[in-house]
Amino acid sequence: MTHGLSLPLLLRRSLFHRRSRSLAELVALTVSAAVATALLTLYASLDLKLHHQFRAFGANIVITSQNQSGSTDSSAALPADALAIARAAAGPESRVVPFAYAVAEMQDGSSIVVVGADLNGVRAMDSWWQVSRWPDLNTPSEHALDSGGQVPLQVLTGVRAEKALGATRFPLSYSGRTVQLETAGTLRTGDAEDSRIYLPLSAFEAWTGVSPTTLEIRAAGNTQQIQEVLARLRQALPGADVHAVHQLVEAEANVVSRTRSLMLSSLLLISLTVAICVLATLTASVFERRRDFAVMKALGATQHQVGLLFFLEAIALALAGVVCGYVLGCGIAYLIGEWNFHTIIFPVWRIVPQVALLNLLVAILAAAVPLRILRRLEPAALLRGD
Amino acid sequence: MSGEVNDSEKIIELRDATREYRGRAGTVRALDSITLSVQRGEWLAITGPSGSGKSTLVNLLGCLDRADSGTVNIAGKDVSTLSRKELDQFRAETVGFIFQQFHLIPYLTALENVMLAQYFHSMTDKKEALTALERVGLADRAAHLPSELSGGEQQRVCIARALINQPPVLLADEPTGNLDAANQEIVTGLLRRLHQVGHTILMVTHDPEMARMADRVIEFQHGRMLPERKAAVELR
Amino acid sequence: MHGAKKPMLSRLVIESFLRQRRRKLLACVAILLGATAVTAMLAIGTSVGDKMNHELAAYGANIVVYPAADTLDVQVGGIDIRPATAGNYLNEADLAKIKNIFWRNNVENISPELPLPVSLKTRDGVRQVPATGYWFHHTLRSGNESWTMGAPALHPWWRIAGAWPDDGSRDEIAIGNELARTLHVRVGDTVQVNNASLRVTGIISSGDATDRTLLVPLAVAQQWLGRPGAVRRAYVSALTKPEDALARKDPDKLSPKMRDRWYCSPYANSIAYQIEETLPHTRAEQIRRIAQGEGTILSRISGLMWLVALAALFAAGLAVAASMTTAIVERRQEIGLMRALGATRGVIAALFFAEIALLALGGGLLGFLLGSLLAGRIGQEVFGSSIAFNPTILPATLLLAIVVSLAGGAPSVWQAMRMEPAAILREEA
Repeated sequence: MTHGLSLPLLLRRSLFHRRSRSLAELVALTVSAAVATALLTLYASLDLKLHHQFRAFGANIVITSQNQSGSTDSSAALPADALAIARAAAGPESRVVPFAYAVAEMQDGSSIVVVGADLNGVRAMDSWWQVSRWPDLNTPSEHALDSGGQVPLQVLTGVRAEKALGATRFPLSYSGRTVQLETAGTLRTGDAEDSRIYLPLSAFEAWTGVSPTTLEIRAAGNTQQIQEVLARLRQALPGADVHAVHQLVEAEANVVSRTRSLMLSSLLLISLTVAICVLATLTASVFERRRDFAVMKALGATQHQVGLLFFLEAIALALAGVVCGYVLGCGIAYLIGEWNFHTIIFPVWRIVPQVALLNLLVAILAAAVPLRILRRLEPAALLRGD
Repeated sequence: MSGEVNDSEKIIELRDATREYRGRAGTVRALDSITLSVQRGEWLAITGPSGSGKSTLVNLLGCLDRADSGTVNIAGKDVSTLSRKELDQFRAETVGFIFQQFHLIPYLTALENVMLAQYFHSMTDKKEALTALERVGLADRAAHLPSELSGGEQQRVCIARALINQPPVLLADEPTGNLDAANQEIVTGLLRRLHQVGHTILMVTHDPEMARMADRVIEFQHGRMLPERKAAVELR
Repeated sequence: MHGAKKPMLSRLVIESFLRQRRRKLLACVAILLGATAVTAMLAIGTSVGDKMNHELAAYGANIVVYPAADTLDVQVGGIDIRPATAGNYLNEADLAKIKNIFWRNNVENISPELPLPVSLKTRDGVRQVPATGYWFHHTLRSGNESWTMGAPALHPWWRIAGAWPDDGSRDEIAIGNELARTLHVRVGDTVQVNNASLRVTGIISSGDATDRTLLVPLAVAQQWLGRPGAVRRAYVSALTKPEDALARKDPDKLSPKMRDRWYCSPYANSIAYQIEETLPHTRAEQIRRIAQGEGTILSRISGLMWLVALAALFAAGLAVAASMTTAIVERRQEIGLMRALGATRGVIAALFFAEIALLALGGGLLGFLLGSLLAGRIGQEVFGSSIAFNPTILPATLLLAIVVSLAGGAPSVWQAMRMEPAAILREEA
């Protein structure tokens, strides 16, 4: 009891004495901050998370050798070091998969497209490929080529190609060199891949002598980051034709921006609803204490002093709400990330000022209404007996 | 307020004070041309049935409300000329309230409740506040919350709070209305002592026994004063 | 006695409902706003899948149709190098039948293609270049209905400088920008293809192999090939339901009941199946790259919106409960008075709950209307197409409004009733 009476003491006493009422206000302001935090965190990470989802569509950048204008020959090889250069330029977040194409001949003389590819890369990038079984990549394919057809080469056969071939073991020839192939698994995509045969790049090169002509790249990040990767690739590989898959990049940008707008309108709507909650709680708080305020008026307090006391209370609770709500909101965002995106959404520090500002705004606006009621109260009527 | 103590000085003077309330059912004249003066050091009892205008009078005297017409002079100041803010300050300096329901702030201790009046008046002075509690016999209860005090003790804290700024006017609204006989005795004794040391007391009461202790009793009916009855001084 | 009490109670409800409007204002606003938010979020939650589906459907076909007995595609780098005469063809006239299948309304676009190599006369002599016959803005008729379909709508990322060739013309052509650059051809120039003079109406930039090809009306390509009505393949863009476990099942191995469910769900697979039924000797295959990716993205976005709707629901519930508490706290005196006048707790509870329910019903109804309007507005802003009025949300909104309001008000009513009437009356001034 060494202290005098001061505003902080009044505030402290008022907040801690009416514990259940303060708690109700704190809960309301915590929810308000938590909702803002969760939605703003989601909003901030939405870009990345959604773009991450778009990886399901596969490559968004394709590099081909600078094509001789208008010719149907697209088998001009890329420089030998193109893959390494592209990997370096695209960054560690991006995936680069080389492809080499050749048109081989079946036994009946008809053509079939054979593709040599980094099958591990394909498997990771093109998640929509429906494959019955991936070829065992550990068997040395050179051995199969050298054995003179004794041990057939394990390949992935498209469903249409399989039907056309009619057998799981079949010979194919390219430039007069015939090899024995065996279907290790079938592939279904519904697109051109169904008519092709895929085999490991090394085996393909050993057989046909054709080097990769195409690099397919899944660049990570949002539209702007993809543009940056694109620019870096163009600079690193001046001789090649680097272009974005417009279809994908545009769809992605479109969907992401629409989702962002939806999130923003939801944020506003929910904030408004939460503000009503805070308003109701603060109104109840004023109403329950209207006599206390009347006493203060009777003791000579000005409207200002009484209002300040109430405002400061609301602000103190709003700030406490920001602390609790931020933690809670990050938790909610984390859980939403886990459930919905199957990735972790980390707390975003830079939204703290926004959350604090929003919460203070809600608290001050919500406190202004009951304050008007307070001003209209007649102290004498409240303080008189029955 | 340390003014010249003069027995014949009029500390309160109402002239033709009128207050009307406009409601849906029309205008109600709560106070109808009241002219009334109170001498410094006088103990005045105000009685009357509910709705007779007592509350309105307390509002006017407590500077919580203003008259529609007429003048209200308290401690030599025409209250109607004061701004809102001046009125707040004037109230803190001039009037000490004693309520029927005590109206202590539930989250402040007895001492802090007393200091609250100092706080809104000027500056807090703990020693002075403790002395005030001592005077009402509650020095040992200073650190207790109102919920830990009996009704009589709460009313005494209320009185200590009313006195702390040495206001020229004490406004007591049914000061014993919520108390049992024993506590009523203590509070009445306190008021009598205050009267003896020269405080001006305006007391609203239903209790004829309480009213009898006052120097003068005025009765209200329908917003008007009834002719004055002879009061306690002569009876005593 | 009992008979006299009832009209009294209903009169009390009506009176207390109409009076003291200020004290109820907050609760009203809370219910209204809560119902508005919930309705809008539910409407968005239920339609966001469809809306996003539309967005994604715009970005490419999800089904490809080709002749069943076809030779293999020999397609490298997006250019078909199979001899134009090899293999089988679809019949252009049959494509309209696709608009007769069970899910015909989900079929948004059909784009036939007929690739063939052509000889193009350049300054340095004649060169072989790939060309493809397309529909551009073809009018497809089936019965009384007609639709405009073609390649531009299927490839919204294709940009054209100039105009698309007219489907009926014999002398108009569009040209890929890379090819145009090497040929130094501009819009309005004339090019010699297969000994015919064609006017370049537009230059396409697509970012894919189309940039190196010529684009001609389908009929022109058919004429060059000498096969009227021939189509190599057709791409179909359909609104589909994201793939789930059922979608991957083989319909011929399902029980009749499950098969019906499969058939009547707009999966890419079932639409492809229905196309095969309608067009004999064809294969229709879902393009897995599109279908699979769409499925994930749509489910993520809908999931997100549902979670946000849940947050809105929670916030609305809290707001209504808080304002109900406030409203009851402000009216404690009334409860004390009624108790003092001898009203039983049952009557008071009935009175208050009836009033709350009435309030919730009104607020919920109005909130539903406002929320629907708001959802429509948001849909207009974000997707450029309104979110349809969904009456099925109404019962959910009303039920929620009533349950949450009653639950929010109950503790305060209870508390007020437990207090001694005298204590309440003395406490209130």
